[in-house]
Amino acid sequence: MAYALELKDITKRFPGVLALDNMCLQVKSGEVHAICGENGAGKSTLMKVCTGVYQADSGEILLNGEQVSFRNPNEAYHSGIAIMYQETSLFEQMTVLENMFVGHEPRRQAGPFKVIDYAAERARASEILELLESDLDLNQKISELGMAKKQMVEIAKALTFDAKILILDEPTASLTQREVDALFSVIRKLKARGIAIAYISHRLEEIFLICDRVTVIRDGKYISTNEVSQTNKDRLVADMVGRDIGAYYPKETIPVGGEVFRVEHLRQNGLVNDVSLHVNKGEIVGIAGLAGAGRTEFALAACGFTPPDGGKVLVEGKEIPLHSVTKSMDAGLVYVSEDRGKCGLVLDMSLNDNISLPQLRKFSRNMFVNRAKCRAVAKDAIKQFDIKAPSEDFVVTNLSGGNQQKVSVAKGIALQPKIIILDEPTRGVDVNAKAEIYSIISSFAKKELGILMISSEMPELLGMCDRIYVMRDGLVCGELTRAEATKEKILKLALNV
Amino acid sequence: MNNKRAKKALPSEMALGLFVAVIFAVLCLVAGDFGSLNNIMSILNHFSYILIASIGMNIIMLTGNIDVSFGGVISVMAILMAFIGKTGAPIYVFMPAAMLCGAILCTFNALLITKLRIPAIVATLATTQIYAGVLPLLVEGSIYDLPASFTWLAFEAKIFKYVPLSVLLALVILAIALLMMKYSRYFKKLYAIGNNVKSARLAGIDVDKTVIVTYAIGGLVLGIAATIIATAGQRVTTTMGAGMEMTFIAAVVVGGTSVTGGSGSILGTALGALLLSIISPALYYLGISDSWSTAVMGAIIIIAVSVGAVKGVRHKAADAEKEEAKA
Repeated sequence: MAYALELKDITKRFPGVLALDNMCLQVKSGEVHAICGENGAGKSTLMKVCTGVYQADSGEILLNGEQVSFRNPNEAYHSGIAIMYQETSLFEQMTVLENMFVGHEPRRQAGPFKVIDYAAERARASEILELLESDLDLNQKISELGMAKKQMVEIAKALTFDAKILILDEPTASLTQREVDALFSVIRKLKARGIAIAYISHRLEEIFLICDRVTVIRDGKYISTNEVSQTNKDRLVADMVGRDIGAYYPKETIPVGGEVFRVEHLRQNGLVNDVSLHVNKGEIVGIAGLAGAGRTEFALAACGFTPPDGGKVLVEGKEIPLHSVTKSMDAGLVYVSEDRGKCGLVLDMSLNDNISLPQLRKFSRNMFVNRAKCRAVAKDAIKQFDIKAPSEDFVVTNLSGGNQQKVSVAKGIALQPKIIILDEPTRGVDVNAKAEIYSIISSFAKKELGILMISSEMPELLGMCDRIYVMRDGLVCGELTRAEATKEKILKLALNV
Repeated sequence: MNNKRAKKALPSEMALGLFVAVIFAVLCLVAGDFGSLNNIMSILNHFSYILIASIGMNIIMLTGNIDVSFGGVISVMAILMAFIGKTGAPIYVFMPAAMLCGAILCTFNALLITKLRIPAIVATLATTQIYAGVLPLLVEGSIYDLPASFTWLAFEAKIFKYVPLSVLLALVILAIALLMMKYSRYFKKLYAIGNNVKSARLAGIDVDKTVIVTYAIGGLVLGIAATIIATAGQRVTTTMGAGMEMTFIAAVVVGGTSVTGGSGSILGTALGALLLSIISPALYYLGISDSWSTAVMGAIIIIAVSVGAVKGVRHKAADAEKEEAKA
């Protein structure tokens, strides 16, 4: 029998990254097929290839044994593939009803015109909501709904397509238990109708509750497919983390000094729920967690980018005000963003300008910037960080990802911080640049700098950190020393199994 | 149908409608002649072209784009019509020509925006300059002594002897737009694009195509507005439309359409157009110099938009409270 959805040897390359590497997947009609993997394993990319958002560089997509190729999401929808995205993709200023049907409203003939058939639309919508056992008000605007209801609308929207294959990307991320139960009963009903469901989730217990088979993906590669009844959580976790590939981590044992950074009970708008942690001088501390655990939100709140609702942040024992980035920088707390293109660097400005940007005040007298001083600092950074740029006037956008990342870190270090928070310091850079960044981090730890490293890459956390905090749902749910930390332990804490 | 939404959407439009009605009533009381048939017909004539062009602007702005070349395009269309009209050709020849011309010029704007990814305001600002710059090279100053066949719409085409045909034209277009807003898939797409371009793409909407079509339609209806403007006299100048786009944008914004796109209504725009079309005559009847009209228009935009903004802020605050209450 042909599979409802079959992916054969799908390869997708992004600049600098091999996102999918000969990935395979087979989903049968009437089964719920889980897709598991760590952050960045390629799950979402895989789904976007299925729905025509991305086009695979090579490989085949087969629907019921027939080869297809989608140039855009529209073609995928019309072939019966519907998806519910993880990040909500709703239209805030439109009603629930409009959102469910936008672009494919049912129409009736009215004289020479085809007009939207509101009666049919409402009937269909009510039917779907009944199936979902949801009490959504069809006339309400999305902007007036809470997260859980928005998610419900997403599901309802996916169901308006007569889908034969339904992809659910983290559908339960922000649902309450009651809503999750309702969703599961819907999934069972859809399954009974012979719909194939691809189910992506971090929550392993859900997979054992609702799914029939599970495929594990790691680093864009196919790892395993098993009947859920014939596997267990430990095996899944082991498949997800894989074996060490023995990367080079220039970790040096540095005597740890006194406390330099402490956060007490930091809270921010449901994203960060009571985080307390501390970092000592010369210590490299990691923060692990899955996407959406609130790690970046924590860092932004601690540095005063997004003023927290409560809590304290202390640098060298002194409390710092929480509503000003400038003041936290002055106190010696510096954050290096995970998104260097958007938040870390001004890509169209030169290396020199980027590095001096946060401290123009220091480099200026009255109104005028002392260009020579800026240059000296930039030149210094190029040498110290081994940035491969012809000169300090080189525009950052023309540098490679790894070198851009070095500029981003150099910019933070140039502020001479006491504690630096590095958010995904090696995201999207190649192996060599990674090794270089690791030795830079090590060399600054030696200079008594406190380093807090947020990372989704397990080997890097294990290889570099003296201690690792694990976050889940905006909370610190565990703390592991270098000696006790293993991939399994971290992942189990992050997944709550 | 759509009860709840109507309940929510109506107040802002009703408030605007009331505002217009009150101003009108006050003016009638203060300046007795304001309510005279002649004055009302003259207001309606202004109203008709502002409304038609504003509807074109409205659909473009719903997508989160804008077209500031509307004024420049009107000038081009006016000259084109004068060329054709000079030969004695009737309105059913030169108006379609103007509409086609508008559709082409606005489509060109849309191509710059969608294909070259130039921000709408920059692209249309540039084409405004081009149209305004090229026109005087082709025509010296103005085309005058146009025949009666050219000014037929302004002077002869009256319904019941008084009501200008242009008003009927405007109301027909308004009715079509209102119906389409309610019943067409196309309009839903406009809202979707204005709300969130990325999501619109994910929902399978061909964003670029929709935007191009929208500009083309905008240009098409602008041709009708331009006909009313150009045929008002026997002389057509090369700067006939200059600056008019601001009136249209004002009508749309005053009517409650968000400048970032995604929300707003045709009905609001119609009321906005009505409000703006009484400013100039109102000042005249109050004995205030017409030179003030532009400043007053500016003040009205600020008032209307800030009232909307305050409402938006309150909405957000209320939503946040609701969320918190739930948590």
